[in-house]
Amino acid sequence: MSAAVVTAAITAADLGLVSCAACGLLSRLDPGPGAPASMCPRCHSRLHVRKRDSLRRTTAYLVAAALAFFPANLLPVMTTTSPLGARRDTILSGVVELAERGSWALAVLVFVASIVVPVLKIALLALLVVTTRARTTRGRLGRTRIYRALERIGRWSMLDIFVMALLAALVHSQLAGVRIHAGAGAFAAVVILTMFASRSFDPRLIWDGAHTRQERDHHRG
Amino acid sequence: VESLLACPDCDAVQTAAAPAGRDVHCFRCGAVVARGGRTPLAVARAYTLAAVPLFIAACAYPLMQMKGASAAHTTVVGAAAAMQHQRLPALALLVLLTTLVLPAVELAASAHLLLRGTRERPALAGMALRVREAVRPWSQVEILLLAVVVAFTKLASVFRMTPGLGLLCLVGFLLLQGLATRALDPRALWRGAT
Repeated sequence: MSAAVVTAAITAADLGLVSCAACGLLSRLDPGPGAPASMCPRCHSRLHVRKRDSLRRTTAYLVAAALAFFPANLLPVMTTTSPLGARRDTILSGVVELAERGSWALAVLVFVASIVVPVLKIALLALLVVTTRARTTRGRLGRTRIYRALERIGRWSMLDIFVMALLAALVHSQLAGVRIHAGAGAFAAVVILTMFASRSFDPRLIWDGAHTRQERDHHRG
Repeated sequence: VESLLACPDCDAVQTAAAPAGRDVHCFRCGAVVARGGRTPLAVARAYTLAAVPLFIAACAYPLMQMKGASAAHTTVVGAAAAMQHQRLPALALLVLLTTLVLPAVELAASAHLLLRGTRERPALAGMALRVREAVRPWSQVEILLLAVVVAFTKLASVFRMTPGLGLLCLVGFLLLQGLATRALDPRALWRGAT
């Protein structure tokens, strides 16, 4: 054994076992004749060895998210009117305005949540799908960590939608007003689609085949 | 095979012997495979039940107020209503679901698991666990809290703004919910611990 990452392990799938996604119980995939198939004996949830059609569904959501990304960032999302005039903003120009007003920390925060995170999510999930499909053996641990990080941060992109809703709820006098445009819908669609994409991806697929003889021999050699 | 489990992220089979009070990580990919929480479920129950009235108050009271000529205030529902007012019903529904309905569903599922346990109706408990898991990414109260901070800062440069009681309740709710989630070990539920 070297200091290298442990890749060989016995998986539940190897043993004909399946782990319940709801309660975590490890049980036999084939309970034998007479018993109801693929149902957790403890909590009665449906059992799946891997998420169904994981790579295909993830790809579909990613393509849709990438398409919606352009209107989401090119179309105006909000117009604010005040006695000083009207101002039409895209997601990015809203960030620039925050920075110009001196709210640097908030500008960075909104920029990361609204633009960096969706871009990273689409790019990195695409990378995960491609490498998993190619059965790449390198960097399994790193790719699993990337997946966990994406699952954790992806939802924060909804921030700008809530900010717009709160601004519209507060500013509605004769002097000042807020109008939200269809671009906001496209932006929300990107966030929702990337969240579905990462939910559909099954990280266990990254590791499938990690115990094959070829690889063990390769490690020994 | 109760003493063995499979890693949710890489499927490696392993034992879940927890060194007291520490989370168990997968030997291969580092995912948390078992919570080492020694806190009794009663603690999670107390946090969860205390979170309920705070959540209701956070929804009922204004999050922030605007003073002066164009005085206004908004609540959690007000944010969703504003989207409806803009004739964007899909976005109104999205805001309503993520800030009000789904957090309430998550809370209800946790309360069910902690109050009724798993022994009497395991299928119902299984459903509550599945619902909780499915709803969690869409339950976005903490993101709403950050949005309140951003909106407050944007408006404070033009209007006189004051934070509302609802905001305080929102912070309290999130603290309790965080503590409850940390204290609730799903495996302990099935050990029949109380």
